[in-house]
Amino acid sequence: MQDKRFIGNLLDEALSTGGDFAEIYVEDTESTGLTMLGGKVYKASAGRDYGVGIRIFNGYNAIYAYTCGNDKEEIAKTVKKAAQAVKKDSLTRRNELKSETVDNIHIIQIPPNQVEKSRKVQLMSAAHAAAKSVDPLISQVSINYSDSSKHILVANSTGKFVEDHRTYTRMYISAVASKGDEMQTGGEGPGALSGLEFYDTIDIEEYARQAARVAVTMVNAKYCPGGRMPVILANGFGGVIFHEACGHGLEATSVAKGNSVFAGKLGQKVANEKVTAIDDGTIPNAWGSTNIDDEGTPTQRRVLIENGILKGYMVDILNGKRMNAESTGSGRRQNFRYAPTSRMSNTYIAPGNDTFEDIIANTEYGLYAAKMGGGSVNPSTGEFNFSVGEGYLIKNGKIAEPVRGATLIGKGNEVIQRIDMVGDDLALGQGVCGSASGNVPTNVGQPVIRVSELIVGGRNGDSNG
Amino acid sequence: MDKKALMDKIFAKGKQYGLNDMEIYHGKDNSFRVKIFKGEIDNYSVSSSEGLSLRGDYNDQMGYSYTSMLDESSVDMLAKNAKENAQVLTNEDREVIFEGSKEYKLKETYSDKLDRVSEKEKIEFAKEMESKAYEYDKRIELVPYCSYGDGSDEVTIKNTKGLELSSRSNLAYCYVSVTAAQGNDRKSGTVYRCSDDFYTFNPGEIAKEACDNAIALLGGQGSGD
Repeated sequence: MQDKRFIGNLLDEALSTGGDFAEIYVEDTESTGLTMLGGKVYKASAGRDYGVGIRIFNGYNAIYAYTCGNDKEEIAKTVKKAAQAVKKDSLTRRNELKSETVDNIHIIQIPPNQVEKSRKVQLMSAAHAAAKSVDPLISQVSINYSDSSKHILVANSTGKFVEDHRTYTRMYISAVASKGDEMQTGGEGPGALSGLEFYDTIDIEEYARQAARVAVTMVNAKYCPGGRMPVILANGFGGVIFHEACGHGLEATSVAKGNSVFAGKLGQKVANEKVTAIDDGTIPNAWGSTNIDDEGTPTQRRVLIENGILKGYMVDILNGKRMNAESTGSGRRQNFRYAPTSRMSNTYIAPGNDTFEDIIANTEYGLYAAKMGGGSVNPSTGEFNFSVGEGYLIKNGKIAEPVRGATLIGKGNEVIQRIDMVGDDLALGQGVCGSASGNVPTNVGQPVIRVSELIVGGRNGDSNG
Repeated sequence: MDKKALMDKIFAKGKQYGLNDMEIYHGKDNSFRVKIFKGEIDNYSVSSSEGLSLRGDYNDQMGYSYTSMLDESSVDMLAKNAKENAQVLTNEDREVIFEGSKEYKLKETYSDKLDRVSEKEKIEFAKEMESKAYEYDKRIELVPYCSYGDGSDEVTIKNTKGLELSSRSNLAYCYVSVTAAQGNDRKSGTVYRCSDDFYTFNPGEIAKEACDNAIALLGGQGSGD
């Protein structure tokens, strides 16, 4: 991507004004995006994004600069500009750059850029037809296909010089069911750190039917009653609540500055003893995995909470300095336009011993959230609200009628104390997490879990609304 | 490579690939941002960015391609991808390239005054906004986010129907988020402002509003309580 000598010169320039650490990040990404609406492909785009990010540390503070393209003069100019933000007399010398070999555990068999776009359209058409076939109430199906191939180089003043390749593919299917004036949606978005072989490992038509089935079920459902009640969160994307309301508070980005309810609580009980939570960036070909993070550190499997005890955080280099902790390979960024910071990868609650059937049977009355929708979280306090995409009331230990319009409201650190049953059916769901360093692919996940009490926002005191 | 020469090469290559009407959207921007934490510059960033996208008509379908690599190496990729993307489209609505209006009203979207604000003034402003927040009320426990930023951008649109226009704009913004605490209760308040006139930002007033927002929430009960 760029030769070692040029990168070395850039690092020298970056350190020339007194910075104590410098890093050069080079990225070259090719992407394809296709959009289908009503069975017609109405948008197709493809392109290349190339740029260089420069980061300099001055104590605990960071300077970041970036430029697009491969013009060496422009890159050198940008490095010089960044260095001018530091003014110190003592100079740090960099180590000699040494190439590191990445142990690639994410094998790509069919690079997307070697596959005709017509083949990708075929997959989309099959998904569209499958969703439409579910019910005449399905009024619209939209499908977004995307793939990208990202080549990165990370070099820094400690002597690191390492490259990595990442290939992503994903399809998001959204189905709308209409009945009179009512409309409800269902969505599924399987994706992986994989080439087109990913579609040989999943049944994309089944995902499409699932999206449509949720939309139809919800358009026929009555409104959910509100109040405090036990809530059972389904496996897979149900983990989005843990991700948003607890996961972000376990990132060093928040912890290092004391801006987290989990700061300073290592070794303390922060969750029910049934809760063990893990962040694992090493799962082969998983959506949130990478061989190395965007600071060049190998990714890890990291236990965050073990049987309710806080065991660790997700740490990047800069916040690690602030916390006197080593990087856990969690430094991530959307692209060269963002400085990296600690982020989640594949974050999940580990499986327990309860079965789905036992959890339902042991709940006299409550809400079963089979699919989660969108929501928002205050990262400082962990307060959240999430909509339930597909919900059912539980009555007398059995799943009863479907209900729509439910909202879950709570505080992350309180909710994990109230998880009193943990299932054995761990599954992961793909999402795109937005935070300080941009949007990055992340898996959320969990087995089915029960929260003994949660505020459910709904309508009226019963389900006949 | 000179921007105009590059655009002409892309159009010529597009013609070779059989594209009919074509249009290039070229964007260039610069940005500055400083973030303060406990009186220190926590984060300082500058950027210069440039990119170009091509859209071209092929058999009545409009294919798109883009790049941030503005040199000879992108010319073929842009034209080839625009054609390939048009070939997979089945859109029944025809998208056309616009030849432009006869006249355009000039709007002032660029403030030269903003360009003249020194980096020192910007940093001092952000530092003052943070310190005013801490001074405002003893219940303000933390100011986790306090930043000032500004940016400018320039856009050029050129097509094979003769349209060639450009515009530029700039803007400054500031953002402060505070956490207020009382016992075990913690609430946050935020304020975001943007303007093309740096001197309309009043650090004390912005900090006060954020603090008031957070303090007002202390002691509140959640719904269902």
